[in-house]
Amino acid sequence: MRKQFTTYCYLFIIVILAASCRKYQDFPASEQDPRLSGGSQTTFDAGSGAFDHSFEGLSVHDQLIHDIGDKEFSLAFVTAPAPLNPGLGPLYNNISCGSCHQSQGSGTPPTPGQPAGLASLLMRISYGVDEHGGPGPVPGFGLQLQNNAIYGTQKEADFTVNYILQTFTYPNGDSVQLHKPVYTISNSYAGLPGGLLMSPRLPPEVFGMGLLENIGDATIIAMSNQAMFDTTIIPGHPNYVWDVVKNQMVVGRFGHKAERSDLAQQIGVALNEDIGITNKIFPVENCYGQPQFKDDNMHPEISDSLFNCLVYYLKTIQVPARRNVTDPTVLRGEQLFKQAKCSGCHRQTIVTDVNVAFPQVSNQTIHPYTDLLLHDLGPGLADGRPVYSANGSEFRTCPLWGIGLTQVVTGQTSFLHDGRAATLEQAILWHGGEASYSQNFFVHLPKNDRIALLAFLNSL
Amino acid sequence: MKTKHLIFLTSVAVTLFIASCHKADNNTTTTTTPTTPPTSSAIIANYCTNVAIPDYSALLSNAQAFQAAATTFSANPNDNDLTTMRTAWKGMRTAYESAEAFLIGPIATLNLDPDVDTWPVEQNSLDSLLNNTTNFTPAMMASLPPTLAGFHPIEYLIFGQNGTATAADFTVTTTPTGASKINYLMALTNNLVSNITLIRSAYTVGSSDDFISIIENPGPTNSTYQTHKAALLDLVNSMSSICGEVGGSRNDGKIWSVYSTQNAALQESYFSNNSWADFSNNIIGVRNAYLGVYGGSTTPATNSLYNLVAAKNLSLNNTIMAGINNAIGSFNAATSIPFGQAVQYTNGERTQVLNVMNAIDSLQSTLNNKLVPFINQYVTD
Repeated sequence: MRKQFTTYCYLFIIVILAASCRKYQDFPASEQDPRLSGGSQTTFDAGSGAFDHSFEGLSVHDQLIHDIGDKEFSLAFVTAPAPLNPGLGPLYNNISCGSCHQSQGSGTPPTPGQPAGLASLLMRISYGVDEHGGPGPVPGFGLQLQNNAIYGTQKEADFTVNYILQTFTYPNGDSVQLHKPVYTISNSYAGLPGGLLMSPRLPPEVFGMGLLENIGDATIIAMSNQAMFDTTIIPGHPNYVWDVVKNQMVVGRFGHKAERSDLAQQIGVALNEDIGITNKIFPVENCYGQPQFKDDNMHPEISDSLFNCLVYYLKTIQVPARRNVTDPTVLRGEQLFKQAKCSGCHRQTIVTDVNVAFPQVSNQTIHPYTDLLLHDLGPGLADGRPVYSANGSEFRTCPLWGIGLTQVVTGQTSFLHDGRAATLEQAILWHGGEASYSQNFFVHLPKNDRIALLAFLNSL
Repeated sequence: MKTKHLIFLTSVAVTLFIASCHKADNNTTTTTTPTTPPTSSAIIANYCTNVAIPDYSALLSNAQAFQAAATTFSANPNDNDLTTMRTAWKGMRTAYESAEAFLIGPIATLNLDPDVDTWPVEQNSLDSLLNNTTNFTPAMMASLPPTLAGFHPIEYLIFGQNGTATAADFTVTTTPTGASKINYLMALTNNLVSNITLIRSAYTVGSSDDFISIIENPGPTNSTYQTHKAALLDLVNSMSSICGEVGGSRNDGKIWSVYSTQNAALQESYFSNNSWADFSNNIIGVRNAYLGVYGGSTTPATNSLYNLVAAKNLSLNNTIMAGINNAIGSFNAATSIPFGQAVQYTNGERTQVLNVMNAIDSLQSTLNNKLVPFINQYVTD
C-alpha cells in the first residue's frame, strides 16, 4: 500500500514537472510585430538608403570595422601599383562591389542586343563536373565569363541578351508580356567547347546576410523534413557544396543555387571572379594558366584585414521593416499568399541559432520569406546548369524581405535569377515546377485578389 | 575730457552693436517663429525649384564653361588658358559637391554619379591609353570603366601628378604625346558634359528620367514615394549620408581615411589639392537643402525644412543651424594648409582636421537622431 502511494507520488511529481516543461512555449506569432523582418536588426528607413543601415548595438570598434567595409564595398578597384585599392583584373566583370550591387540592392540586366559590358548581370559557365561534384571549369575560361579586361589585355568574350516576347493571358482576358531571355556569346578569345553550360546571374540585395548565415544547418535540414508531416510545406532539399576552407561538403546558403555555405566564401569568390581581386580564401587569379594572366606581385590583392572588414560589413547590415502591415488589402494579400502555398517555400519566419559570440544575430525571430532550400521551378526558368545537388531547374528560394523597396532603392525592378521579370507579377507567372500550384492559384484569382497579393509583396 | 570719454564709449557701443548684427547675419539663427509652418508638398516643391534645379543648372553651365575653356586651350595650349581651365574645373566641382547632399532619385539609381565622379583614377591604364591611342571616339569612351572617365581623369590631365602639369606637356611630341592628351581631354570633357546633361534632365519635367514628377507627387500609385514624409525622409537621410561620407571620426569618412593613414595620395581631388573645397561644399549643400536655397544665400526660403522645424520646435532648429554653421565654420580654421599636408603636420593642423570631423559628426548625429524623428512625428501626409 505504502509502496503504491510512493509510486503515485513519484508519478504526480513527474506529471507536474512535465507540465511545467511544456509551459515554456515560443512567443506566439500573433504577439510579434510583423514589421520586424530582421528581428532586433530591423531599420525603419523606407527610402533610397534603406538597404544600407548598420546593425544596432555595435561597439565603437566594430562600427569602425563595419564602416571600413562599407567604404571598400563602393570603392572602385584599379590596376596595381596604385596608392588606393589596387589589384583589379587582369580579367573582371566590374570594378567594385557597389557597381553591381547598386545601393546595396539588386542589379539590372544589360540593354538587349548590346554586349553586356559593365552591366551587373554576369554569366557563369561550366563544362562537366569537378572532383567534388560541383560545376567543372571550362578549359581556358574557368567558371565565369569575364567580359572585361584591363587596358591591353584581351577579355574572354562578350555576351548579349535578347528577349523573346511571350504574351500571358489570364482566364479573365487580362494579359501580360513576358520576356524569355536568349544569350549569345561572341568575340571569345579562344574556342568554347560544345556542350558548354551557361547560367546568367543577377546580383542580389546584400542586407540581412549575417542573419541568414546564422540560420543553422539543423534548421535548414529540419525545414526540408517538415514537408513530411505538414501539407502546407512544399518539399525542398538543401544543397551540399564543397567548402574550400573546411575541405568538406557542407550545407549551402548563399547564391541563387545555394552554392556557398558562408559569407566569407561568397564574398571571396565574388572578389576573385567578378573583380579579379585575389584574397585569403581564393588566392589564385581567375585567369591563372590563361594567356591573360599577369602577376602584379600582390599576394593577395586585398589584405586579410580589409577582406575581414568587408565580410563584417556584409554581416552587419539591417533588414528593412515591412510597411502597411495593417492595410486591409495587404492583409488580404497575405492570406492569399498562404492559401496559394507561396509560403510553402517562401517561409515567413525562421529563428536563427544562438550565437554567443555575435549577439546581434543570435536567437532572432526573422521574416526572410525563404527556406534556403532548392526547389524545381520548371522548364521556363531552368538554366540547365547543375551546381552540386542543385539540378538544372532547381534554384534556392529567393528571400523576399525588402523586395517592395527595390524600386525606391535601385530605381528599377528586375527580378528572378537573371532579371527577366520587370515586375513581381511577371516573376510570379514565370514560376513553374514545384511552384505550379501557387502560380496556377494566382492566375485564377479575381483581379482584385491578384492586386492584393502583389500589394502584400510590396509591403515586404 | 568728459566729452572724449562719452565719444569713446559711444563708439564702443556702436562697434559692438555692428559686430553683433554681423554675427547674427552669418549664423542665420532667426528666432522669429513663422505663424504657419510650410506644408510638406511646398517644401518638396521648393527643394526642386530653388535647390536642386539651380544647383544642377549651375553644374551644367559650369561644365559647358569648362568645355569652352578646354576647347580654347586645345587650339593653342598655353599656361594662361591652362589656369582658366583649372579654375573652370573647380567651378564644376563646386556645383557638383554641393549637389551631393541630395543624391537621391535617378542620379543615384541610374549610376550617373559613378559615371562622373569615380575615385580613384585608373592611372596605369590611363598612361598606357595615352601612349597607344590618338583617336578617342565616343564609342571608345563609352566602353571605358568609370575610373577612366569623369572629373578625376580630367583633373589628372590638367593638374598632373602633384599639380605639376604645364601647358608644354600638351605640345610634346614624344609619347605620351601632347596631341593624345588633348584628344583624351576633349573626349573626356564631351563625355562629362553629356553625362551632366543627363543629370540635369532628372530635374526636367517630362524628360525620360523625370524625378520632379516622382518626388512632387507622392501617392499610392507612385512606385518610389507613397507619402510626402517618405520623400522628405529620403532627402534628410541623404543630407546625413553625405556628412558620414565626408566627416565622421568614427566611421571611416573621406577625411578620416586620409587622417588615420597620413597618406595624402588617398584623398579625392588629390591632383588639384581641391579636397577642402570639395568637403566644405558638401556641407554647404546640406545647408542649402535645409534652408531651401542655392547660391550662397543663408536666408531660409519660406517653404523650407528650416521653417517647418522652427514652427514646431524652435530649439531643435537652433541646434540644427548651430550644427550646420559649426561644421561649415570648422573649415575656416583648417583650410589655410592643403588637406593632404594638414593631415601630416603636427603643429596643431591635425587637431584642426579632427575638429572638422567632429563638427560634421555631430551634425550627422543631430540629423539622424533629431531631424529624422521630428519628420516622423510632424509630417503626417
